[in-house]
Amino acid sequence: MTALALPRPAAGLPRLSLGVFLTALAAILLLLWTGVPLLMAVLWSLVDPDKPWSYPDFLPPSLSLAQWKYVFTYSSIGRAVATSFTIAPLATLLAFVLSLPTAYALGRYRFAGKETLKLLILLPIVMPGMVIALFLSRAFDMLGLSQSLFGLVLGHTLLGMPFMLRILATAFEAIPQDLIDAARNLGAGWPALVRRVLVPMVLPGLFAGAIFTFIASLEEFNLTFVIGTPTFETIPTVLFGYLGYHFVRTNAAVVSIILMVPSIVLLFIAERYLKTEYLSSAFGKL
Amino acid sequence: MSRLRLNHLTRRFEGMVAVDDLSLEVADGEFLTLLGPSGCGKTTTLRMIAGFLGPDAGDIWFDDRRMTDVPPHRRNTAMVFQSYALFPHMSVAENVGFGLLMRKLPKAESAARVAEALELVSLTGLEDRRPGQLSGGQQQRVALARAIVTRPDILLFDEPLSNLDAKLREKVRVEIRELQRRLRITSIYVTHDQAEALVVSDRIVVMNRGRIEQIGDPDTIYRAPDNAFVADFIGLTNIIEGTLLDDRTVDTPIGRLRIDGGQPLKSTRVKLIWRPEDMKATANGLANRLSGTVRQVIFRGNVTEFTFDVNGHSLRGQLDNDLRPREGETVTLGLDADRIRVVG
Amino acid sequence: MRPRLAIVLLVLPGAGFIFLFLAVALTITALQSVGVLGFGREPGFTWEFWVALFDRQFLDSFLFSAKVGIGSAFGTLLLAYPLALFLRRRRAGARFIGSVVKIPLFVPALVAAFLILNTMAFHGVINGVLLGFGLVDQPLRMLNDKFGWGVLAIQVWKNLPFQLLVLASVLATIRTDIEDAARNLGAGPWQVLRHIILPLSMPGILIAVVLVFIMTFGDFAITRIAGPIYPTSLAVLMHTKALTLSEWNLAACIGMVIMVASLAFVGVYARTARLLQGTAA
Repeated sequence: MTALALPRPAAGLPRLSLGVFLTALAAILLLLWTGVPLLMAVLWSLVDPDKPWSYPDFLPPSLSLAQWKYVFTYSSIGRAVATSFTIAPLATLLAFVLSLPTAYALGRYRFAGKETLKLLILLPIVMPGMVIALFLSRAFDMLGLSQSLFGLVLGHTLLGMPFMLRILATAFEAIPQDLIDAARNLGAGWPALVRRVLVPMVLPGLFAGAIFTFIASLEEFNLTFVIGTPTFETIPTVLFGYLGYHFVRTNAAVVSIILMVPSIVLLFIAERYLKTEYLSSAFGKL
Repeated sequence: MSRLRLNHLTRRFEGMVAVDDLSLEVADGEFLTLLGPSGCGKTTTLRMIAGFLGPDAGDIWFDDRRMTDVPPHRRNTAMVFQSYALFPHMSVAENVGFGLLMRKLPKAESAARVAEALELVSLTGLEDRRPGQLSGGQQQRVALARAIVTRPDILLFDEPLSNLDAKLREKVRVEIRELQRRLRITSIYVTHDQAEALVVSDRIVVMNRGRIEQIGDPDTIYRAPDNAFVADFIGLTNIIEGTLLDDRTVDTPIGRLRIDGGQPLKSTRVKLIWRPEDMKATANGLANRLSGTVRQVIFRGNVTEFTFDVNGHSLRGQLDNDLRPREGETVTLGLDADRIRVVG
Repeated sequence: MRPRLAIVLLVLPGAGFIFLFLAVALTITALQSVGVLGFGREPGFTWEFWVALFDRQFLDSFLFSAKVGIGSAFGTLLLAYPLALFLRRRRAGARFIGSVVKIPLFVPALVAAFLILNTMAFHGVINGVLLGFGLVDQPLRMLNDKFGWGVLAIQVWKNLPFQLLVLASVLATIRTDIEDAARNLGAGPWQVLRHIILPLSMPGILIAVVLVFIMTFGDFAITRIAGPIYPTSLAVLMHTKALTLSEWNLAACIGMVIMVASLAFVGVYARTARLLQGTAA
């Protein structure tokens, strides 16, 4: 019997139809699911205040930057941005300094209780945020740290450390012992080892940890809401103000975008230039 | 039990051809081995028979049924995987009975067949253990029992012994052979271990780069390889190129060698192939005499292998231990004409 | 110096900082709940606050939080598990879908709240589409409803990628040759799912569900924004009692309840995670 030269599908399933159809369907649905809310936010921030957008218009009748101007002129967003971007780097720095030795120990040593420790370190982000915020605020009150920048930095550090610790520990763990042994074997003492082997190998992790901690601080709400306001406003607290009982849609849209953009930019950098294991250790592989 | 027919099977991966126009017929109850180096297409062929891959061209037939488009779960084949692929969350009995569960067999009959299969592989008593609690050899037997209990039309083996240590491997391969003889299920066995292939097979298919180099029973494959690749892949070989002078003589770099006439050849450039053990300790009465300096001597326990130089060409020899030569010695061996295989 | 001591010193800054603050918060909460710490009243150990806690309002809030927690966890699972299964086999386009799905991960909680709020609002796009297609005569009021659909929608949207990541990583540990073996032995696609994949992914499913529950049970901001005025979540109730009504002791009791519940589920998560590590196929 001579063979036909026609391409054959995988046994049991017509190769093209079902799989491709489902994939396309899923892709479209997910794009709508994710994209529509975002698109709506962008559109609403660009609505011309003189031409309000409502049904039956499918798109805003005209776009303008008036809302943006309004928010920047009449709200406390400017100060809030400054505050957010002051606290975030400070908290990141503090978190880094405190986490470095601990992450090193977690990444390179074996000791009793290590697994438990790793879980306990996650507590600040797993425990109910408002509970910690509320009752920590009592302690801050007693110590005079309420309504203070230092208090805020401490709080943000607390919430960023789980990310920093986990990512740094993963980075340290990933340094093959062989490399250290080889360097030692070839005559490297501690300073040289740190400078030429440890730091370069850990740098990507360091960078990733810093990014995640920075973002965590930018987005932090509960603690800042309790101990920061009304003296200090951050971008999230301003946003919350526009979302609560006074729902001002257009302002909220503008502030949402202001809050989202740094996060997306930073995470884009992280995703592109760093290995995905850092993303996994931050989010998924708990 | 089924006859298997592969008809002009072709399968490509990302531009390169893994299986190239392969045709094969396997008799009912036969034990056929696909043998070859990594990448020769043997596993791809096996997976196409199982239905995990579809061929790009060609057909697969079990008896008179065209199986090419049938999904794996409806083919009634059973595979023993290299990694055993036992279900970690099921007991041994549940593992073995899985295929019967899928075929909706009543509980009582299923239990009876499971017990029977476990006895065949000498694992009675371990029904309630989990795979994680078993040794490698035991896991392998469970995989085997799980495959045979369904009484498949075709039994497939994907290098099932590679994860066992050498001694166990030798023992188990014989047991597999015995089991298959008893059950008479058509079996396709994939391996890269030529010694294993020689032990278990009714016929061997030597594959290279997606094509069949030779099909034959173990003896023929060993004694009468069709070409240099097959000769070199199976066992140890001496291969020398030469020019055919007449029907019985070949001119080679190691001298003029006498061969048996009558083999049909396409050109005068030929390759001469013989096994180390074909060269005898005395050249008296033998057509060819080869002399050289012994270089390497390797003691193998029951025999001694060695290499010796003849005119700058290294040949491999093998002698009983009491006749073994020493390094640096000159050795003279005899090679009879009928021991040399000539390929074009 | 002795290695043990060295390790303790190394671990101290990071872990110590975390535990110090957590311990302080926990201690204050506990002490306030039994009246030992009093602000604006005589301190003294008493159970009176705990007794007073279990009123109608608290129970309604507890049920509301539990409902939102369970609803979010399982609602997300309903979407995430099939997606994870779908993305398991490498297909063309799986990477694209994977990236798109992950986007809400990068969206801060408050922004997510706004985004969905905006979509579900009286003048939002969902109502717009429904009206446009003539499916309803009047726009639907979907937010601040008594049941909490607004909160649920936001939580599901926000937590989907997270659960997907957890589930995908669990499913990845199931070796493909085991699936092949099942198919080889006669299992069709549904049977492979039922007998092989589901049982083996159970611990992972449990983890995914528990994690989302913990994250949503103690929520404040989203419920405040999109939830009903009554009943409200435990965290909102706690906040109101503390800062609006200055009933700090009662607030502390509520805080304890939220914390204990969360810790209990963290324990479940930890046990299951350890189990997963043990039975990695």
